[in-house]
Amino acid sequence: MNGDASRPAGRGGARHGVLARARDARRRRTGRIADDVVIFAELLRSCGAAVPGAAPTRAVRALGEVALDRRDDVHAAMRATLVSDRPSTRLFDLVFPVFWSRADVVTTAADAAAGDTSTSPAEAGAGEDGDAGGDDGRQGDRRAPRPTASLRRGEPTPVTAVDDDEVDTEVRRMVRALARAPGRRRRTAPAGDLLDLRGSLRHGLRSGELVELLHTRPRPARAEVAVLCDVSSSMAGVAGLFLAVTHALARHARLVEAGVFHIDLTLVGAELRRHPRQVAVRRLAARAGALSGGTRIGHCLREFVDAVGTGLTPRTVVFVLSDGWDVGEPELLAAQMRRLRERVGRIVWCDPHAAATGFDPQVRGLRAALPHVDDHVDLSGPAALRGVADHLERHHPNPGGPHARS
Amino acid sequence: MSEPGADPDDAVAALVAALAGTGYVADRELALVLHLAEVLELPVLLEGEPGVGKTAVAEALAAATGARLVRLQCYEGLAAHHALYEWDYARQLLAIRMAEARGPVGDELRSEVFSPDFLLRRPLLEAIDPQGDRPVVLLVDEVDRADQEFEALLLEVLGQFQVTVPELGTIVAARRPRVVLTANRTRALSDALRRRCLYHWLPYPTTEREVQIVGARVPGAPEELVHRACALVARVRDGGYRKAPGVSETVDWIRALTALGGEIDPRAVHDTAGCLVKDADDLARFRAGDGERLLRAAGVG
Repeated sequence: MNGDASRPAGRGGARHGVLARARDARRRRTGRIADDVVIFAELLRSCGAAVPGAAPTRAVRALGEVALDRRDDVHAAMRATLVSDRPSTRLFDLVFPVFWSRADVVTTAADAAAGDTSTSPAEAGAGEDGDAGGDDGRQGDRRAPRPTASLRRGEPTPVTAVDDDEVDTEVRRMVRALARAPGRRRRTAPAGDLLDLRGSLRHGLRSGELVELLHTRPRPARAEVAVLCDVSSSMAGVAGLFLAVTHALARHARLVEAGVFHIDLTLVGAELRRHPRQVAVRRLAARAGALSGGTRIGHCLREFVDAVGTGLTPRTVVFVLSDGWDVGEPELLAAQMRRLRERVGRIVWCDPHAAATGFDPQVRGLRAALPHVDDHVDLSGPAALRGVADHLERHHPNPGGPHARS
Repeated sequence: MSEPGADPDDAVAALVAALAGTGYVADRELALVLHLAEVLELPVLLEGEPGVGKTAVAEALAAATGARLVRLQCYEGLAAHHALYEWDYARQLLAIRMAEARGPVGDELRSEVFSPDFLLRRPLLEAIDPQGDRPVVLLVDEVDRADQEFEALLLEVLGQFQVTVPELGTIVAARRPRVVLTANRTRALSDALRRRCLYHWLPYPTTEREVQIVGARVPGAPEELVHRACALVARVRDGGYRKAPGVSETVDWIRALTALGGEIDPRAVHDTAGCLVKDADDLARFRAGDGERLLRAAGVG
């Protein structure tokens, strides 16, 4: 589980755990470069970095091209060959000086500089894996949204039975309804607005002469979607449905990023793409159950916008799945909603209590957020999903227009 | 792998110098990655904030190595016939009509119409099979703007360095081009693409380096001005502005300040703020006093 579930966190306990692992791995160094590079690559992977399979080979080749006594060059060469994205780069910079520390380049067995040698990898990992329990309070201090955070092995919330096919059908309708804006790719259509010379000529050559002219028209662009799903305790009743919808949106639309939040945000886009529905929902639900605290929507929104940044465009449609129960400051929530609204084409807020309260929310958080929401829809159960799809089919302003993306 | 006798040290330093000769101030890390890409024959994937000079790397590399730059600008909807090759249909039609006018046409017309003469060569094909002897630097700019499907096509080309045109056969690169891909992280690139590339994150330059860059790009700027302006830019980047200024903004701004007399005072900063800060809210904040505060801070430091 650790291999892909924990990603570089770079702060606090996680940082400590990573460094402890690096020290532990250093003890296994053999002194032969090829072997050590492989151990180093394994270390990076175990800390959650994306290290492609062929990377160690390539790193060894690269080391043959640089002067080994120039430490900066070795650092840069190995980083360019071993890791392949930004978070992993940061992790690399953290771990490199520890694993390849100068102190024991010659005597690999000596471990005097290692510091707290008592820390076994299992203990070191505990802070990260979160199964030590009782660190709910500390959870709040973690500021950086982790690409994929560790899972807590608490009592998972019983996931209410949700009909997968139904969710898929309705979410597909929603995504199609959002994809009205003409894209820049074209497809053949008898009454299209542009002549398809390539197609016409190929078609003509088959029969020997050019009699029929084919046309093309723009293909609707796939909807770009970002999803924020509330998994706090107040959502327990509908968590299963909400997570299923989150997963379906991630699968059927072009996903910008997805996050689940309670008092902190966790980005789960990669996890949703990788795992099938059952697995993904189970893993996310496990995270939801362990916390009984409240929700800091404004805080999580800020982290989300910061983390996704340029991924949010006027074409993006943001789905927020939450009851709006917020323990943070309403001003922060309103400000962050405004910030989000400026960047994206449309915000759809799916509220489990909307129908019950007659679309007049009583909770402070949702009241603060609503002025910036384009569509406030009811999602109280699987049956309501059809209503959401109906709503989106009826109201489809072009988010940003076809060429709004700069 | 090159023979052990070759001194890699020199090659990297030489590349730094060669890039500097074209006006691009590269740090050793970047030059090393570019050097590795050359000897390992791998593409380089450059990521970084907007405006840190990702595209300029490829331009400078081409200029420094005497290569020709072939640029493929990616955008949504980019397809094989924009990137690889396309038949010149209009000319083909014309040729068919003319042949028909001359008399009955046979099968030989088909091979004539689908010959290299009628092939429009798009950037990827041009990079693999360049016309002329000069080596090629292929720049695939903003690859994250293209569709995911296009990435798959790119994988094939970058993996094998060959292009198959059904009517002509497979064209294999006689000499592999250097390839630079840039991305702004507007969407996640596939792992498959990342795996095939050397990865380098291009950060904002340090103040010191930015002074060098500006010195190379705006030779006429007073030294004092450049130092203070770059210090201020560094503070703006840390200041939590919505859109942090890139290196090109710094260069433009200092060019503007130089044109206005080469003085950096609150008045000049206020007047030229639009060169540096390019967002309405940021600009309002900058002009409302934040700029002056940062200028004071930068002046002391």
